[in-house]
Amino acid sequence: MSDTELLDRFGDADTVRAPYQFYENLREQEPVFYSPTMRGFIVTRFEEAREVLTNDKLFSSEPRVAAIGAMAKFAKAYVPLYEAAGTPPPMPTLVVVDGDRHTRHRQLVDGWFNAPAVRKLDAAIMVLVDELISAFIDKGKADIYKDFCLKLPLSVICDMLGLPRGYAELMHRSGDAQVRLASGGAETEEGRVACHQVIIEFQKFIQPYIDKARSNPGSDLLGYLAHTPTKDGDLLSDAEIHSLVQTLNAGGTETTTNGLGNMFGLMLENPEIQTQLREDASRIPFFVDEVIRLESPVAGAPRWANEDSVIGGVAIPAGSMIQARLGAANRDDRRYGCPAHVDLARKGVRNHVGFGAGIHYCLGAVLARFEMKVSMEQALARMANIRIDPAAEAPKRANKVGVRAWLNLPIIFDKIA
Amino acid sequence: MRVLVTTRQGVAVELQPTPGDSLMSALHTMSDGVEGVCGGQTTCGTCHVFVNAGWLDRLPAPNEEEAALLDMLEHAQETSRLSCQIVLVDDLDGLDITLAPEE
Repeated sequence: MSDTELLDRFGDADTVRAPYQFYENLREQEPVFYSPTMRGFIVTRFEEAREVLTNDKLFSSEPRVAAIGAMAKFAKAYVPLYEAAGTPPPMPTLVVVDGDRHTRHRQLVDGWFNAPAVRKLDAAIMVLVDELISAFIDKGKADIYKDFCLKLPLSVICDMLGLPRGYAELMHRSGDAQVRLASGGAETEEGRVACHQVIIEFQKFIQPYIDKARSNPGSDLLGYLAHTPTKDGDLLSDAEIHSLVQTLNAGGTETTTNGLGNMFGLMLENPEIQTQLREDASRIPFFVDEVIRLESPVAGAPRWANEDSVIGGVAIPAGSMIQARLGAANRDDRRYGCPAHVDLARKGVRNHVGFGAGIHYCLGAVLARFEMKVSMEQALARMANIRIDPAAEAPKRANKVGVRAWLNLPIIFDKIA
Repeated sequence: MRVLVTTRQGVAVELQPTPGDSLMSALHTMSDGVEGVCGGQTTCGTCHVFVNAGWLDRLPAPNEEEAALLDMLEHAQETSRLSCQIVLVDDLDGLDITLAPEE
Protein backbone atom coordinates (compact mmCIF):
# COMPACT_ATOMS: atom_id res chain seq x y z
CA MET A 1 0.00 0.00 0.00
CA SER A 2 1.58 3.29 -1.05
CA ASP A 3 1.28 6.59 0.78
CA THR A 4 -0.77 8.01 -2.03
CA GLU A 5 -3.32 5.21 -2.18
CA LEU A 6 -6.79 6.65 -2.14
CA LEU A 7 -9.00 5.85 0.81
CA ASP A 8 -12.63 4.95 0.18
CA ARG A 9 -14.44 8.00 1.49
CA PHE A 10 -17.95 7.22 0.19
CA GLY A 11 -19.05 6.31 3.69
CA ASP A 12 -17.51 9.36 5.30
CA ALA A 13 -20.12 12.00 6.21
CA ASP A 14 -17.80 15.00 5.87
CA THR A 15 -16.71 13.86 2.40
CA VAL A 16 -20.29 13.20 1.32
CA ARG A 17 -21.21 16.75 2.38
CA ALA A 18 -18.21 18.25 0.53
CA PRO A 19 -17.17 15.66 -2.06
CA TYR A 20 -15.45 17.64 -4.81
CA GLN A 21 -11.83 17.44 -3.67
CA PHE A 22 -12.28 13.69 -3.22
CA TYR A 23 -13.78 13.46 -6.71
CA GLU A 24 -10.81 15.36 -8.12
CA ASN A 25 -8.39 12.99 -6.39
CA LEU A 26 -10.29 10.06 -7.87
CA ARG A 27 -10.32 11.56 -11.38
CA GLU A 28 -6.59 12.19 -11.25
CA GLN A 29 -5.35 9.10 -9.44
CA GLU A 30 -7.88 6.32 -9.86
CA PRO A 31 -10.63 7.30 -12.30
CA VAL A 32 -12.17 3.84 -12.11
CA PHE A 33 -12.12 3.22 -8.38
CA TYR A 34 -13.34 0.14 -6.54
CA SER A 35 -15.28 1.29 -3.49
CA PRO A 36 -15.90 -1.38 -0.85
CA THR A 37 -18.53 0.93 0.68
CA MET A 38 -20.48 1.19 -2.57
CA ARG A 39 -19.65 -2.42 -3.43
CA GLY A 40 -18.70 -1.50 -6.95
CA PHE A 41 -16.58 0.53 -9.35
CA ILE A 42 -16.97 4.31 -9.35
CA VAL A 43 -16.21 6.11 -12.63
CA THR A 44 -15.33 9.78 -12.26
CA ARG A 45 -14.09 11.02 -15.66
CA PHE A 46 -16.56 12.38 -18.22
CA GLU A 47 -15.76 10.20 -21.23
CA GLU A 48 -15.73 6.96 -19.28
CA ALA A 49 -18.88 7.92 -17.38
CA ARG A 50 -20.68 8.63 -20.64
CA GLU A 51 -19.53 5.29 -22.02
CA VAL A 52 -20.98 3.51 -18.97
CA LEU A 53 -24.26 5.39 -19.31
CA THR A 54 -24.75 4.94 -23.04
CA ASN A 55 -23.40 1.45 -23.71
CA ASP A 56 -26.53 -0.31 -22.53
CA LYS A 57 -25.57 -3.57 -24.20
CA LEU A 58 -22.50 -3.89 -22.01
CA PHE A 59 -23.81 -2.11 -18.93
CA SER A 60 -27.30 -3.04 -17.83
CA SER A 61 -29.52 -0.86 -15.66
CA GLU A 62 -31.09 -3.94 -14.11
CA PRO A 63 -29.85 -4.53 -10.56
CA ARG A 64 -28.80 -8.04 -9.65
CA VAL A 65 -31.26 -9.61 -7.22
CA ALA A 66 -28.59 -9.96 -4.58
CA ALA A 67 -27.46 -6.35 -4.92
CA ILE A 68 -27.45 -4.32 -1.77
CA GLY A 69 -24.61 -1.98 -2.72
CA ALA A 70 -26.82 -0.22 -5.24
CA MET A 71 -30.55 -0.44 -5.81
CA ALA A 72 -31.02 -2.40 -2.60
CA LYS A 73 -34.70 -1.67 -3.10
CA PHE A 74 -34.91 -4.74 -5.34
CA ALA A 75 -32.69 -7.14 -3.41
CA LYS A 76 -34.42 -10.50 -2.85
CA ALA A 77 -33.38 -10.51 0.79
CA TYR A 78 -36.04 -7.91 1.60
CA VAL A 79 -39.01 -9.51 -0.18
CA PRO A 80 -40.25 -11.19 3.04
CA LEU A 81 -40.83 -7.72 4.54
CA TYR A 82 -43.37 -7.05 1.80
CA GLU A 83 -44.93 -10.50 2.02
CA ALA A 84 -45.45 -9.95 5.73
CA ALA A 85 -47.03 -6.55 5.09
CA GLY A 86 -49.23 -7.83 2.24
CA THR A 87 -47.92 -5.28 -0.26
CA PRO A 88 -46.20 -5.99 -3.59
CA PRO A 89 -42.40 -6.30 -3.45
CA PRO A 90 -40.71 -3.48 -5.38
CA MET A 91 -40.73 -4.20 -9.07
CA PRO A 92 -38.06 -2.72 -11.30
CA THR A 93 -39.43 -0.09 -13.68
CA LEU A 94 -38.04 2.76 -15.81
CA VAL A 95 -34.66 3.65 -14.31
CA VAL A 96 -33.78 0.07 -13.45
CA VAL A 97 -34.89 -1.96 -16.46
CA ASP A 98 -33.65 -2.29 -20.02
CA GLY A 99 -35.08 -3.01 -23.44
CA ASP A 100 -38.73 -3.96 -23.85
CA ARG A 101 -39.53 -3.75 -20.14
CA HIS A 102 -38.20 -0.18 -20.11
CA THR A 103 -40.20 0.75 -23.21
CA ARG A 104 -43.37 -0.78 -21.69
CA HIS A 105 -43.40 1.82 -18.92
CA ARG A 106 -41.60 4.71 -20.56
CA GLN A 107 -44.09 4.80 -23.46
CA LEU A 108 -46.94 5.20 -21.01
CA VAL A 109 -45.46 8.03 -18.98
CA ASP A 110 -43.44 9.93 -21.63
CA GLY A 111 -46.46 11.88 -22.79
CA TRP A 112 -46.94 13.26 -19.28
CA PHE A 113 -43.43 14.69 -19.09
CA ASN A 114 -42.41 15.67 -22.62
CA ALA A 115 -42.16 19.24 -23.85
CA PRO A 116 -45.81 19.58 -24.98
CA ALA A 117 -46.99 18.21 -21.61
CA VAL A 118 -44.78 20.67 -19.71
CA ARG A 119 -46.06 23.50 -21.88
CA LYS A 120 -49.61 22.60 -20.82
CA LEU A 121 -48.55 22.65 -17.16
CA ASP A 122 -46.59 25.89 -17.28
CA ALA A 123 -49.37 28.24 -16.16
CA ALA A 124 -50.27 25.98 -13.22
CA ILE A 125 -46.62 25.75 -12.18
CA MET A 126 -46.23 29.52 -12.31
CA VAL A 127 -49.26 29.87 -10.01
CA LEU A 128 -47.77 27.33 -7.57
CA VAL A 129 -44.44 29.17 -7.51
CA ASP A 130 -46.25 32.44 -6.88
CA GLU A 131 -48.32 30.98 -4.03
CA LEU A 132 -45.28 29.47 -2.31
CA ILE A 133 -43.36 32.76 -2.45
CA SER A 134 -46.45 34.70 -1.30
CA ALA A 135 -46.58 32.54 1.82
CA PHE A 136 -43.32 34.06 3.12
CA ILE A 137 -42.79 37.27 1.13
CA ASP A 138 -44.04 39.60 3.88
CA LYS A 139 -41.73 38.09 6.48
CA GLY A 140 -38.58 39.19 4.67
CA LYS A 141 -37.04 35.83 5.40
CA ALA A 142 -37.61 32.13 4.72
CA ASP A 143 -35.92 28.79 4.61
CA ILE A 144 -35.95 28.61 0.81
CA TYR A 145 -35.15 24.89 0.95
CA LYS A 146 -37.94 23.88 3.34
CA ASP A 147 -40.50 26.53 2.40
CA PHE A 148 -40.04 26.30 -1.35
CA CYS A 149 -37.72 23.66 -2.79
CA LEU A 150 -39.29 20.82 -0.82
CA LYS A 151 -42.81 21.95 -1.66
CA LEU A 152 -42.91 22.90 -5.34
CA PRO A 153 -41.98 19.59 -7.03
CA LEU A 154 -44.10 17.64 -4.58
CA SER A 155 -47.18 19.73 -5.36
CA VAL A 156 -46.53 19.36 -9.10
CA ILE A 157 -46.26 15.57 -8.89
CA CYS A 158 -49.26 15.24 -6.50
CA ASP A 159 -51.41 17.28 -8.87
CA MET A 160 -50.26 15.23 -11.82
CA LEU A 161 -50.92 11.89 -10.11
CA GLY A 162 -54.20 13.04 -8.55
CA LEU A 163 -52.93 12.63 -4.98
CA PRO A 164 -53.75 15.08 -2.18
CA ARG A 165 -50.94 17.49 -1.36
CA GLY A 166 -51.29 17.03 2.40
CA TYR A 167 -49.04 13.99 2.85
CA ALA A 168 -45.75 15.71 2.20
CA GLU A 169 -43.98 14.24 5.19
CA LEU A 170 -44.63 10.63 4.18
CA MET A 171 -43.89 11.32 0.53
CA HIS A 172 -40.58 12.93 1.47
CA ARG A 173 -39.64 10.02 3.71
CA SER A 174 -40.47 7.58 0.93
CA GLY A 175 -38.39 9.52 -1.60
CA ASP A 176 -35.53 9.65 0.90
CA ALA A 177 -35.78 5.89 1.52
CA GLN A 178 -35.59 5.25 -2.21
CA VAL A 179 -32.45 7.29 -2.78
CA ARG A 180 -30.83 5.77 0.29
CA LEU A 181 -31.52 2.27 -1.01
CA ALA A 182 -30.16 3.29 -4.42
CA SER A 183 -26.79 3.58 -2.67
CA GLY A 184 -27.64 0.85 -0.19
CA GLY A 185 -24.05 -0.11 0.50
CA ALA A 186 -23.57 3.17 2.36
CA GLU A 187 -26.40 2.26 4.78
CA THR A 188 -26.37 -0.19 7.67
CA GLU A 189 -28.50 -3.33 7.40
CA GLU A 190 -30.82 -1.81 10.01
CA GLY A 191 -31.00 1.35 7.88
CA ARG A 192 -31.88 -0.61 4.75
CA VAL A 193 -34.68 -2.45 6.54
CA ALA A 194 -36.01 0.86 7.89
CA CYS A 195 -36.05 2.25 4.34
CA HIS A 196 -38.09 -0.74 3.14
CA GLN A 197 -40.54 -0.20 6.00
CA VAL A 198 -41.05 3.39 4.86
CA ILE A 199 -41.73 2.18 1.31
CA ILE A 200 -44.29 -0.28 2.69
CA GLU A 201 -45.95 2.56 4.62
CA PHE A 202 -46.03 4.58 1.39
CA GLN A 203 -47.55 1.64 -0.54
CA LYS A 204 -50.33 1.33 2.05
CA PHE A 205 -51.03 5.04 1.65
CA ILE A 206 -51.10 4.79 -2.17
CA GLN A 207 -53.14 1.57 -2.53
CA PRO A 208 -56.58 3.18 -1.97
CA TYR A 209 -55.79 5.73 -4.67
CA ILE A 210 -54.87 2.94 -7.08
CA ASP A 211 -58.12 1.16 -6.19
CA LYS A 212 -60.07 4.34 -6.85
CA ALA A 213 -58.21 4.89 -10.12
CA ARG A 214 -59.26 1.38 -11.21
CA SER A 215 -62.94 1.79 -10.30
CA ASN A 216 -63.51 5.48 -10.89
CA PRO A 217 -60.60 7.02 -12.78
CA GLY A 218 -60.08 10.75 -12.97
CA SER A 219 -58.20 12.56 -15.71
CA ASP A 220 -54.97 12.33 -13.72
CA LEU A 221 -51.89 10.18 -14.33
CA LEU A 222 -52.96 7.53 -11.83
CA GLY A 223 -56.24 7.05 -13.71
CA TYR A 224 -54.31 6.92 -16.97
CA LEU A 225 -51.90 4.29 -15.65
CA ALA A 226 -54.75 2.17 -14.31
CA HIS A 227 -56.68 2.11 -17.58
CA THR A 228 -54.31 2.55 -20.52
CA PRO A 229 -53.19 -0.65 -22.23
CA THR A 230 -49.43 -1.08 -22.41
CA LYS A 231 -47.65 -1.71 -25.71
CA ASP A 232 -48.05 -5.42 -24.85
CA GLY A 233 -51.84 -5.03 -24.82
CA ASP A 234 -52.37 -5.67 -21.10
CA LEU A 235 -52.96 -3.32 -18.18
CA LEU A 236 -50.29 -2.50 -15.62
CA SER A 237 -50.41 -4.55 -12.44
CA ASP A 238 -50.74 -2.85 -9.05
CA ALA A 239 -47.10 -3.72 -8.40
CA GLU A 240 -46.06 -1.89 -11.54
CA ILE A 241 -48.17 1.15 -10.70
CA HIS A 242 -46.72 1.21 -7.17
CA SER A 243 -43.21 1.17 -8.56
CA LEU A 244 -43.95 3.89 -11.10
CA VAL A 245 -45.55 6.07 -8.44
CA GLN A 246 -42.54 5.53 -6.15
CA THR A 247 -40.16 6.50 -8.95
CA LEU A 248 -42.16 9.61 -9.81
CA ASN A 249 -42.40 10.47 -6.11
CA ALA A 250 -38.62 10.27 -5.77
CA GLY A 251 -38.43 12.57 -8.79
CA GLY A 252 -40.88 14.91 -7.12
CA THR A 253 -39.34 14.90 -3.68
CA GLU A 254 -35.63 14.32 -4.14
CA THR A 255 -34.17 15.09 -7.54
CA THR A 256 -36.08 18.23 -8.52
CA THR A 257 -36.10 19.46 -4.94
CA ASN A 258 -32.34 19.18 -4.84
CA GLY A 259 -32.01 20.77 -8.27
CA LEU A 260 -33.93 23.76 -6.87
CA GLY A 261 -31.99 23.76 -3.60
CA ASN A 262 -28.64 23.52 -5.35
CA MET A 263 -29.68 26.36 -7.65
CA PHE A 264 -30.49 28.74 -4.79
CA GLY A 265 -27.49 27.48 -2.81
CA LEU A 266 -25.07 28.15 -5.65
CA MET A 267 -26.49 31.64 -6.11
CA LEU A 268 -26.21 32.39 -2.39
CA GLU A 269 -22.61 31.18 -2.34
CA ASN A 270 -21.77 33.34 -5.39
CA PRO A 271 -23.54 36.71 -4.98
CA GLU A 272 -22.26 37.97 -8.34
CA ILE A 273 -24.51 35.39 -10.03
CA GLN A 274 -27.55 37.08 -8.56
CA THR A 275 -26.39 40.40 -10.02
CA GLN A 276 -25.73 38.82 -13.44
CA LEU A 277 -29.12 37.12 -13.55
CA ARG A 278 -30.91 40.32 -12.55
CA GLU A 279 -29.09 42.21 -15.31
CA ASP A 280 -29.90 39.58 -17.94
CA ALA A 281 -32.71 37.15 -17.15
CA SER A 282 -32.11 35.36 -20.47
CA ARG A 283 -29.12 33.72 -18.72
CA ILE A 284 -31.37 31.90 -16.23
CA PRO A 285 -31.72 28.72 -18.37
CA PHE A 286 -27.93 28.65 -18.70
CA PHE A 287 -27.58 28.96 -14.93
CA VAL A 288 -30.06 26.11 -14.49
CA ASP A 289 -27.86 23.81 -16.57
CA GLU A 290 -24.69 25.00 -14.87
CA VAL A 291 -26.34 24.04 -11.56
CA ILE A 292 -27.20 20.57 -12.84
CA ARG A 293 -23.62 20.21 -14.05
CA LEU A 294 -21.80 21.66 -11.03
CA GLU A 295 -24.05 20.38 -8.25
CA SER A 296 -25.62 17.38 -9.95
CA PRO A 297 -28.67 16.50 -7.84
CA VAL A 298 -28.34 12.81 -8.70
CA ALA A 299 -24.75 12.13 -7.71
CA GLY A 300 -24.32 8.79 -9.46
CA ALA A 301 -26.06 6.31 -11.77
CA PRO A 302 -25.38 2.58 -11.28
CA ARG A 303 -25.11 -0.06 -13.99
CA TRP A 304 -24.21 -3.75 -13.92
CA ALA A 305 -21.64 -5.28 -16.28
CA ASN A 306 -23.29 -7.88 -18.54
CA GLU A 307 -19.92 -9.39 -19.37
CA ASP A 308 -16.25 -8.97 -18.55
CA SER A 309 -15.29 -5.55 -19.80
CA VAL A 310 -12.67 -2.84 -19.56
CA ILE A 311 -13.33 0.79 -18.70
CA GLY A 312 -10.51 3.32 -18.50
CA GLY A 313 -8.02 0.46 -18.60
CA VAL A 314 -9.57 -1.25 -15.57
CA ALA A 315 -11.00 -4.76 -15.86
CA ILE A 316 -14.64 -4.89 -14.76
CA PRO A 317 -15.74 -8.49 -14.09
CA ALA A 318 -19.17 -9.56 -15.35
CA GLY A 319 -21.87 -8.90 -12.77
CA SER A 320 -20.03 -6.03 -11.11
CA MET A 321 -21.79 -2.83 -10.19
CA ILE A 322 -20.25 0.14 -11.96
CA GLN A 323 -21.45 3.63 -11.16
CA ALA A 324 -21.08 6.69 -13.38
CA ARG A 325 -20.42 9.37 -10.77
CA LEU A 326 -22.33 12.19 -12.43
CA GLY A 327 -21.26 14.84 -9.92
CA ALA A 328 -17.60 14.05 -10.61
CA ALA A 329 -17.78 13.54 -14.39
CA ASN A 330 -19.45 16.91 -14.82
CA ARG A 331 -16.41 18.62 -13.26
CA ASP A 332 -13.81 16.85 -15.37
CA ASP A 333 -11.32 19.41 -16.72
CA ARG A 334 -10.65 17.13 -19.69
CA ARG A 335 -14.15 18.07 -20.75
CA TYR A 336 -14.76 21.55 -19.30
CA GLY A 337 -12.62 24.65 -18.99
CA CYS A 338 -12.68 26.03 -15.42
CA PRO A 339 -15.01 23.18 -14.43
CA ALA A 340 -15.60 24.37 -10.85
CA HIS A 341 -16.87 27.78 -11.97
CA VAL A 342 -20.30 28.90 -13.08
CA ASP A 343 -20.06 30.18 -16.64
CA LEU A 344 -23.31 31.68 -17.89
CA ALA A 345 -21.95 31.78 -21.45
CA ARG A 346 -20.55 28.25 -21.49
CA LYS A 347 -20.78 26.59 -24.92
CA GLY A 348 -22.69 23.34 -24.82
CA VAL A 349 -24.07 24.09 -21.38
CA ARG A 350 -26.80 21.43 -21.81
CA ASN A 351 -24.32 18.71 -22.78
CA HIS A 352 -23.53 17.53 -19.24
CA VAL A 353 -24.50 14.11 -17.86
CA GLY A 354 -26.38 15.52 -14.83
CA PHE A 355 -29.59 14.04 -16.23
CA GLY A 356 -27.80 10.86 -17.27
CA ALA A 357 -27.29 9.99 -20.95
CA GLY A 358 -28.77 7.68 -23.55
CA ILE A 359 -31.94 5.64 -23.18
CA HIS A 360 -32.21 6.34 -19.41
CA TYR A 361 -31.82 10.10 -19.78
CA CYS A 362 -34.05 11.68 -17.14
CA LEU A 363 -37.72 11.40 -18.08
CA GLY A 364 -38.47 14.60 -16.15
CA ALA A 365 -35.62 16.73 -17.50
CA VAL A 366 -37.88 19.14 -19.41
CA LEU A 367 -40.14 19.53 -16.37
CA ALA A 368 -37.22 19.96 -13.96
CA ARG A 369 -35.56 22.59 -16.15
CA PHE A 370 -38.86 24.44 -16.37
CA GLU A 371 -39.55 24.33 -12.62
CA MET A 372 -36.05 25.62 -11.92
CA LYS A 373 -36.24 28.41 -14.52
CA VAL A 374 -39.63 29.71 -13.38
CA SER A 375 -38.62 29.51 -9.72
CA MET A 376 -35.52 31.62 -10.30
CA GLU A 377 -37.38 34.11 -12.49
CA GLN A 378 -40.08 34.67 -9.91
CA ALA A 379 -37.70 34.66 -6.94
CA LEU A 380 -35.67 37.44 -8.56
CA ALA A 381 -38.80 39.35 -9.58
CA ARG A 382 -40.27 39.35 -6.07
CA MET A 383 -37.21 39.47 -3.81
CA ALA A 384 -34.23 41.82 -3.95
CA ASN A 385 -30.85 41.30 -2.33
CA ILE A 386 -31.43 37.63 -1.48
CA ARG A 387 -28.74 36.49 0.96
CA ILE A 388 -28.04 33.90 3.60
CA ASP A 389 -29.67 34.78 6.93
CA PRO A 390 -26.74 35.34 9.31
CA ALA A 391 -29.03 35.04 12.33
CA ALA A 392 -30.29 31.56 11.42
CA GLU A 393 -28.62 28.18 11.63
CA ALA A 394 -25.97 28.00 8.89
CA PRO A 395 -26.92 26.07 5.73
CA LYS A 396 -25.97 22.44 6.02
CA ARG A 397 -25.58 19.67 3.46
CA ALA A 398 -27.29 16.28 3.87
CA ASN A 399 -25.25 13.15 4.46
CA LYS A 400 -26.63 11.34 1.39
CA VAL A 401 -24.22 9.67 -0.98
CA GLY A 402 -26.83 9.20 -3.73
CA VAL A 403 -28.06 12.76 -4.05
CA ARG A 404 -26.53 16.19 -3.55
CA ALA A 405 -28.93 17.78 -1.09
CA TRP A 406 -29.30 20.63 1.36
CA LEU A 407 -30.99 20.28 4.73
CA ASN A 408 -31.79 23.98 5.10
CA LEU A 409 -31.17 27.25 3.27
CA PRO A 410 -32.25 30.19 5.48
CA ILE A 411 -32.42 33.48 3.54
CA ILE A 412 -33.30 37.11 4.14
CA PHE A 413 -34.30 39.51 1.38
CA ASP A 414 -35.96 42.83 0.58
CA LYS A 415 -39.52 42.43 -0.64
CA ILE A 416 -40.19 43.78 -4.12
CA ALA A 417 -43.72 42.54 -4.69
CA MET B 1 -25.73 8.83 -49.81
CA ARG B 2 -24.28 12.26 -48.96
CA VAL B 3 -25.08 14.83 -46.29
CA LEU B 4 -23.49 18.27 -46.47
CA VAL B 5 -22.69 19.78 -43.08
CA THR B 6 -21.48 23.28 -42.28
CA THR B 7 -19.71 23.20 -38.92
CA ARG B 8 -19.99 25.88 -36.24
CA GLN B 9 -16.70 27.24 -37.56
CA GLY B 10 -18.17 27.58 -41.05
CA VAL B 11 -16.26 24.65 -42.54
CA ALA B 12 -18.08 22.52 -45.14
CA VAL B 13 -17.90 18.77 -44.52
CA GLU B 14 -19.41 15.92 -46.54
CA LEU B 15 -20.66 12.84 -44.69
CA GLN B 16 -21.56 9.54 -46.31
CA PRO B 17 -24.06 7.94 -43.92
CA THR B 18 -25.92 4.69 -44.37
CA PRO B 19 -29.51 5.22 -45.55
CA GLY B 20 -31.91 4.59 -42.66
CA ASP B 21 -29.61 6.10 -40.04
CA SER B 22 -30.75 9.14 -38.11
CA LEU B 23 -29.07 12.41 -38.97
CA MET B 24 -27.90 12.54 -35.33
CA SER B 25 -26.07 9.21 -35.73
CA ALA B 26 -24.41 10.53 -38.87
CA LEU B 27 -23.31 13.68 -37.04
CA HIS B 28 -21.89 11.54 -34.22
CA THR B 29 -19.20 10.40 -36.67
CA MET B 30 -17.77 13.96 -36.61
CA SER B 31 -15.44 15.03 -33.80
CA ASP B 32 -17.42 18.26 -33.28
CA GLY B 33 -20.88 17.20 -34.47
CA VAL B 34 -23.76 17.19 -32.01
CA GLU B 35 -23.96 15.84 -28.48
CA GLY B 36 -27.42 14.19 -28.47
CA VAL B 37 -27.21 13.36 -24.77
CA CYS B 38 -30.63 11.72 -24.55
CA GLY B 39 -29.90 9.44 -27.49
CA GLY B 40 -32.85 10.53 -29.61
CA GLN B 41 -35.77 10.76 -27.19
CA THR B 42 -36.62 14.40 -27.89
CA THR B 43 -35.79 15.31 -24.31
CA CYS B 44 -32.43 17.11 -24.19
CA GLY B 45 -32.34 19.43 -27.21
CA THR B 46 -28.61 18.93 -27.80
CA CYS B 47 -28.72 17.71 -31.43
CA HIS B 48 -30.01 20.96 -32.91
CA VAL B 49 -29.32 21.78 -36.57
CA PHE B 50 -30.45 24.36 -39.14
CA VAL B 51 -31.72 22.95 -42.42
CA ASN B 52 -30.34 24.90 -45.37
CA ALA B 53 -32.21 26.39 -48.34
CA GLY B 54 -34.37 24.09 -50.38
CA TRP B 55 -34.38 21.19 -47.95
CA LEU B 56 -36.79 22.16 -45.17
CA ASP B 57 -39.91 21.40 -47.21
CA ARG B 58 -38.52 18.02 -48.24
CA LEU B 59 -38.44 16.82 -44.64
CA PRO B 60 -41.51 15.50 -42.81
CA ALA B 61 -42.76 18.26 -40.48
CA PRO B 62 -41.63 18.07 -36.85
CA ASN B 63 -44.04 16.34 -34.49
CA GLU B 64 -45.54 18.17 -31.52
CA GLU B 65 -42.81 16.95 -29.17
CA GLU B 66 -39.96 18.15 -31.36
CA ALA B 67 -41.65 21.48 -32.08
CA ALA B 68 -42.28 22.17 -28.39
CA LEU B 69 -38.71 21.31 -27.40
CA LEU B 70 -37.26 23.47 -30.21
CA ASP B 71 -39.36 26.33 -28.85
CA MET B 72 -37.46 26.06 -25.58
CA LEU B 73 -34.02 26.48 -27.18
CA GLU B 74 -32.31 29.86 -27.25
CA HIS B 75 -30.98 29.58 -30.80
CA ALA B 76 -34.08 28.09 -32.43
CA GLN B 77 -35.18 29.61 -35.72
CA GLU B 78 -37.61 28.73 -38.52
CA THR B 79 -35.19 26.28 -40.12
CA SER B 80 -34.40 24.47 -36.84
CA ARG B 81 -34.73 20.72 -36.45
CA LEU B 82 -33.56 18.12 -33.96
CA SER B 83 -31.27 15.82 -35.92
CA CYS B 84 -32.40 12.78 -33.89
CA GLN B 85 -35.82 13.06 -35.51
CA ILE B 86 -34.61 13.05 -39.11
CA VAL B 87 -34.29 9.63 -40.73
CA LEU B 88 -31.92 9.66 -43.70
CA VAL B 89 -34.10 8.07 -46.36
CA ASP B 90 -32.77 7.88 -49.94
CA ASP B 91 -34.75 10.97 -50.98
CA LEU B 92 -32.58 13.03 -48.65
CA ASP B 93 -29.39 12.31 -50.59
CA GLY B 94 -27.55 15.66 -50.66
CA LEU B 95 -29.29 17.05 -47.53
CA ASP B 96 -27.62 20.35 -46.60
CA ILE B 97 -27.51 21.44 -42.93
CA THR B 98 -25.62 23.74 -40.58
CA LEU B 99 -24.84 22.82 -36.97
CA ALA B 100 -26.68 25.18 -34.58
CA PRO B 101 -24.60 26.91 -31.89
CA GLU B 102 -24.23 24.66 -28.87
CA GLU B 103 -26.30 25.68 -25.84
